[in-house]
Amino acid sequence: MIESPRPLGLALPTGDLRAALGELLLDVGISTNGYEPGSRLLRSEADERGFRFRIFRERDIPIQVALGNYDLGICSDLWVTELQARFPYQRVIRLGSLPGPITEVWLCAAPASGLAEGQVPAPDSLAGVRIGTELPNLTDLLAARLRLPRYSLLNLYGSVEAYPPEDADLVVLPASDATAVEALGLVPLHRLFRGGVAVVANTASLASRDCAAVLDRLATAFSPTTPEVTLPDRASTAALKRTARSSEALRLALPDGHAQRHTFAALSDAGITFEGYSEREYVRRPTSAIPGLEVKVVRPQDMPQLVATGAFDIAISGVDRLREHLALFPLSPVEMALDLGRSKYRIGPIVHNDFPAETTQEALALWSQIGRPVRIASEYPGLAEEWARDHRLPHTAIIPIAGASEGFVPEDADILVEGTETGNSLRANNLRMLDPFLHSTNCVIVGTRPPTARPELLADLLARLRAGVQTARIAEAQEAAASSPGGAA
Amino acid sequence: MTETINAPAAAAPVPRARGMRDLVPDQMRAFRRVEDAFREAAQNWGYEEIRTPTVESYSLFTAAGALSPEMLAGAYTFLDWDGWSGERVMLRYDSTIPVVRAALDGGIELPARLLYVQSVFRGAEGEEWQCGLEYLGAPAVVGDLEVAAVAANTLDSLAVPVELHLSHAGVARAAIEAAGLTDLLARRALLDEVAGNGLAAVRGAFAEQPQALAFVDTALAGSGELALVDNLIALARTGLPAAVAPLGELREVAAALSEGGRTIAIDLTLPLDFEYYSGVTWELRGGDLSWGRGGRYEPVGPGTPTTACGLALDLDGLAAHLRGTSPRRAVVPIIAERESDLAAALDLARSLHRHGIPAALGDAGASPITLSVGANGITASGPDISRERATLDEVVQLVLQHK
Repeated sequence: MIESPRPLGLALPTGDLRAALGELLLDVGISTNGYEPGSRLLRSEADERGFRFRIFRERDIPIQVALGNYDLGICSDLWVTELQARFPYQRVIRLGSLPGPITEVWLCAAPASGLAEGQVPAPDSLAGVRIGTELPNLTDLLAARLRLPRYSLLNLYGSVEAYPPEDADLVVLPASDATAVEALGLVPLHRLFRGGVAVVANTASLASRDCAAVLDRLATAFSPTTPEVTLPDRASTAALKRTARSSEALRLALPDGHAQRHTFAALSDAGITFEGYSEREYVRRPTSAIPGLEVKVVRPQDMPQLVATGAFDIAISGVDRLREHLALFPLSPVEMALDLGRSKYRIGPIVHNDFPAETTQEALALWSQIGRPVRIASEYPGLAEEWARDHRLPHTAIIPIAGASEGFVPEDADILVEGTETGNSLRANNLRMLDPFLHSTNCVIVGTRPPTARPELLADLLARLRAGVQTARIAEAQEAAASSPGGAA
Repeated sequence: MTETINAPAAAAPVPRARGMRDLVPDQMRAFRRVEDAFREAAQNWGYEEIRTPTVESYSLFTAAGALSPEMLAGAYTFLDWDGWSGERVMLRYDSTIPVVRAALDGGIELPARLLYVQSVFRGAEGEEWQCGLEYLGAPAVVGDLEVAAVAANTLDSLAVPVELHLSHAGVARAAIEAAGLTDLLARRALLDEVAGNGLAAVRGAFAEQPQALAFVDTALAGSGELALVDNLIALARTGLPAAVAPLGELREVAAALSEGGRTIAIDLTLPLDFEYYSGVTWELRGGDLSWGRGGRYEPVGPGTPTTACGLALDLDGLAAHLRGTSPRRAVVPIIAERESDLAAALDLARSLHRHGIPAALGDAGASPITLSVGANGITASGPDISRERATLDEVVQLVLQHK
């Protein structure tokens, strides 16, 4: 049988860039049906010109192109630079810039650091400094230039601006410019990076495949923006002033994002409210009426580590996040103190609807004979690896991903390990879950060692939250009874 | 290209990790030959062996100021096995810093002469094996000569011809100082460049200083004999005075090596390689090949000696060069004719081993002699041998004759 040639693959970003980039692609004559804003499609089939596109979170795009899963990609220069800062030998090159938003990356500190705008602190004052970031590779590069003798890198999922001064001495974060950094309440110390929107290509594809159909159109839109990494070439003599966490207060971490409304509901059931933390809105440091309780809003993914390191004493996160953390670090001193029973969803292996197996066991028999590593994409790389190990898959490649996960199978991964609440998104993308291995809810996380500050307050909070869970269950049971046939009118 | 998942394929073997190499027996024979030659040469000078862990704290390298942005790209770093605390570790990138740490941890008295045979892990290069030594607290010149002599003696005993290319890190440091960069980070940035590209990296800083430029251009013109050092000293007196003392030291070391019969070349184009080098540095060259590098450095950190000399030989490269020059040792096969003869066959093997003769039960590859143990005692046979009821002494003599 003569196989038709693999269509040219183009990786496109989801998120903020999508609308403007969709228009630009149309303007240059590249039709990407399904990429328009509001579309839930994550891929298109090969069109008459022989190319297909797939939508990824931006940070996954240079990786997918480097892996050779896609020949070309478009994403912020930031993510290309973040990959190449640490892995310069990857097979991805930047071809040019497209018009689009400029992103900068700044080294910042809190005003309490005593540093002024543009002051890189004296390296000698930075021994043991804690740096929070979503950009670990650029941050390591900066640390190497500064020859930081010892430093802790807090590799965060997000909400980086919330960390200084008590939870990080310095942060490295993306922002549109210095003014945007100041708007976050931080002091911009040094601009580490500036770049726009990049077109990237796999070097092997450029050498061996005819990409002209896309390249000649994209090239007409190239702009002169060039990304620049600017490592500091001088430091001030100013020393960084550091702020430790309060040793008197009990510290509680609350989640932002999707988990927020479930957390607010659980707190309400327990009769606990914080000024600045509602179902939909929050401030980074909500005010607590409970004496001795300090509250901060951070990403739920980061909470297990923050509790393990003692930055927080108690956190409301998800069972999935705790299990992921413990899959990566089995001896981490964190545990679940209370299941809050909300934010329910299932996590399991997900395959394409055409995959010829109905159960995990049937699928394992096929994967064991695949003759190459079984590719597992997941936002939970620890759980994915644990699942593969538990099921004795002989050779796997775990692909950590940042999101837009439903588009990965079957082309870019054999299995997706992901969570689903209703299954709607899976169905929309022609996917199905085999046997789920985790039923996740939101939960309270504490350290396995008692907190040094206010243990009685921790016990009181847990008791109130526990009572809230009971109240919610009773209400739920009453509601079910009332709505059942023969129930109360 | 299409792929159907339900078409069973043969289970593919899991490949080696990228950058990692196996050493199969004929490579190992050459590897051991280099290793043995190095150990003997170093031990003749009083060096004792040390071995450091494969995994070190990431901070060990950052605290030593050794992890430049360029090196970072090739470092294998990851969270430790229980990395919830964020503690990162690093596969040994270089052996010098771990050996200095181990000497301090172990309370080893200075001066200390330490040798090692271990691998380092560097990005695309993967795992690289090195024979190296660190002379901690080595006095200037005498220490330089001793360390260079160990390297040269090793290559002599392997019959690998070598030329010693000599430089001095003090020259590059003097040039960096003269570049007038007052800021610590700016100086470090330039040092990063010098580490990768040598003295060429500072040339641009002297566009307005003709005397200094004359010195740098002469230094960059290529390698030369001892006279090149004298010429450079003459130019440095006006162009780069801080380089005069390092050049004087370089001359002293080069002259002693040359008078001792070594082939030397003065070569200030050598990259600094590691920022910690501070004195005479050298590279062992055989034509276009580099067999190793070394030099004087200043260990960093509290309690470390103020000065030290080290070298690292490219064990992989030397072993590849010598591959095929160390034939496999013949193994005498011993055949037990009956089950009841197995114990006697084992006993015979043990006796031969005591005489330094490799012997194994059953097929052992090509051998000029085969021994059988059976009803007629020991029988030795071969193309021109046939002896029944041989005594152990006779067997040993026969094997040695036909070795």
